[in-house]
Amino acid sequence: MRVKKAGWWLATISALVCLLPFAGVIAGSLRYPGPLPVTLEQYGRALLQNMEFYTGFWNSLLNTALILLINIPVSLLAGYGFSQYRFPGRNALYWLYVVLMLLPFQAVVVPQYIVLQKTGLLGSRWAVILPCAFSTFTAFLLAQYMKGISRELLDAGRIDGLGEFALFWRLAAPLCRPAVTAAVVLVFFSNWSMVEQPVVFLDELSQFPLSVLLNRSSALFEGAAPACGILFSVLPILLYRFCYDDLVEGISLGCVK
Amino acid sequence: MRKKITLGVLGILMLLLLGVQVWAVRDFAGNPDRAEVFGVTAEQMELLSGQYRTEFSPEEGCGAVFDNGKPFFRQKLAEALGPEAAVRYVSGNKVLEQFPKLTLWLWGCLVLLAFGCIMVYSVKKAAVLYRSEQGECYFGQWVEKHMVGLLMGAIGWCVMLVAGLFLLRWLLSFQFFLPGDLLPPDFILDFPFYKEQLAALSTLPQTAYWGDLGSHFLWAFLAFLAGIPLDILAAGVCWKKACQ
Amino acid sequence: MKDRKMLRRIAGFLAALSFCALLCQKVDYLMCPETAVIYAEETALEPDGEKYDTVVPTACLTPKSADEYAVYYVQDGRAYQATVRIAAEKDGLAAVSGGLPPGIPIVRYSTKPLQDGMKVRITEEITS
Repeated sequence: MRVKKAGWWLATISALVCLLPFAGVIAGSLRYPGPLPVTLEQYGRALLQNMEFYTGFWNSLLNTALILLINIPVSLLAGYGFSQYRFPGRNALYWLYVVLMLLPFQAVVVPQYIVLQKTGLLGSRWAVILPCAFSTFTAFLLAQYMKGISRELLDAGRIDGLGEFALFWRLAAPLCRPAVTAAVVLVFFSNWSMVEQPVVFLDELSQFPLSVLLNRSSALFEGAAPACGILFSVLPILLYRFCYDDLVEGISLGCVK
Repeated sequence: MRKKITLGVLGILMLLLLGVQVWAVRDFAGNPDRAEVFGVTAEQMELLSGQYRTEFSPEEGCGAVFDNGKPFFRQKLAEALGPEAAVRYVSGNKVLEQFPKLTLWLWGCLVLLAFGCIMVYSVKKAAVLYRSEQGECYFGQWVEKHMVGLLMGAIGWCVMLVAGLFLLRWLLSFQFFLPGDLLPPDFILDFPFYKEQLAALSTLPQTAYWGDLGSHFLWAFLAFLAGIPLDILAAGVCWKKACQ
Repeated sequence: MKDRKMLRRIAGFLAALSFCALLCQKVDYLMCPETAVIYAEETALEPDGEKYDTVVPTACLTPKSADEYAVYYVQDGRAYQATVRIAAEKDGLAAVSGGLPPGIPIVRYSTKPLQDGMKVRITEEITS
């Protein structure tokens, strides 16, 4: 009982410590030089007078939406292929995926830069979207989840006359909803706050997502950067609440064997 | 039935309030925009009459210099009069016109929201209908069964999409006007600044024009303010319909 | 049910942000002062007199200190303040020297008091 209580206290204190930076930003967003100690002026400036905030926000949303639209279907197909089929080079490809997953961005930035430069994509939005859209982590997560799909179910579908794509589309994909939700949420979070790729591959200030603008050019926001940061965090928080149950189920079933 | 009557009443009220704003603009239209100058001499007004249309009242020692429609009227007049002159610039017509413009712009946003809500609602309705009949027929057969309804829905969707894009273009190109000296230097919601400016404008002697403008401005402003909760209510009704 | 509520909140948040974006575009336009600009000339103040690099109307200058004046110029859609000194003056024109880039538009009139780095809109170019 005492150990349980101590554990509870430890978890609570750790959670509060983790929330401190966010609480600091909230406190900072309620202050503005002037007579009043607490004021919503920063939110007024962010929402009504700052076109740079909206440019950054919509860039972030567009980039993330496009990455999700490409990443999830491709990863679903790749995961299904890895989990259900035995083809020459499967194991080597699988381990290549794992290695690529473990490589940080800093290790691949130079080759990526050269490839993007040679293909003429450097400086455009696609320089950020395409490398992130073909991410191996999502394929790996979905492949792990799909290994748990009963083979008998798919055999029954084959007996009923379903083709291979119909098996994937009508049987396997609907069963992967928790894993797909987990993948959507994880991909969303990692790409919503991405900083390195836009900084390296983009030139124009109008193309930068809000995560970069808040980081590098907070002077653009005329003292309302904390409020812009809070508004930027609202969508991920709402999405997290929306997908919480599926996220937990998807990660646990995908990773725990 | 009650819902339809309520919506009807809401629509009529909104139109009424727009009508009040348009009346305020039309009724005041006969008074051209001007700068009211105080403590000036006849010679000074004579000098200005070469460039502008002027009116001067020697007994009261005040006059009016009418806006000639050229850009930077206030700045050029201030240069001509010098810093000692007491001037009240009144772009009455231009300011009053903004109220019905802003109301129409808000209605445009409401219509855009309504288009979005109707489009979402129609897709939801079709999905619910498909789910209810899924057990009886395959997708192709379901489409054949409801071909006319689906086609009408698709056409409506396309019309709303195109109209919505044109409406969005209109909303983006729409611009408002307020005289620069009435706007705060830094933050648009700087309410102490607005209070100070109104107080400064009111310290100068009252004229018939200023009083007339004040009463028309009050009508237009109150009608605009009263319209805002109605607009929010209309937006809520559209939102509720989409969420059904 | 809880999922639907959260989805509505997400959609509502995005819709509200879109409306605020529209409003922000209008406010940005309103708060951006309109300016009339004049280009600094390389000319002489008197016939057959000395030619100066930068001659501007004295009305563009605002006294800053004993012999320094502030003048606003427009670059990349923003107004910046430069501090200049008057080398010579005649008939409402002044030859200035100081931190003024050559050939740059100088603000002659503005609908709002300017601040350094403020976004502006050029609506008139005065040629003389």
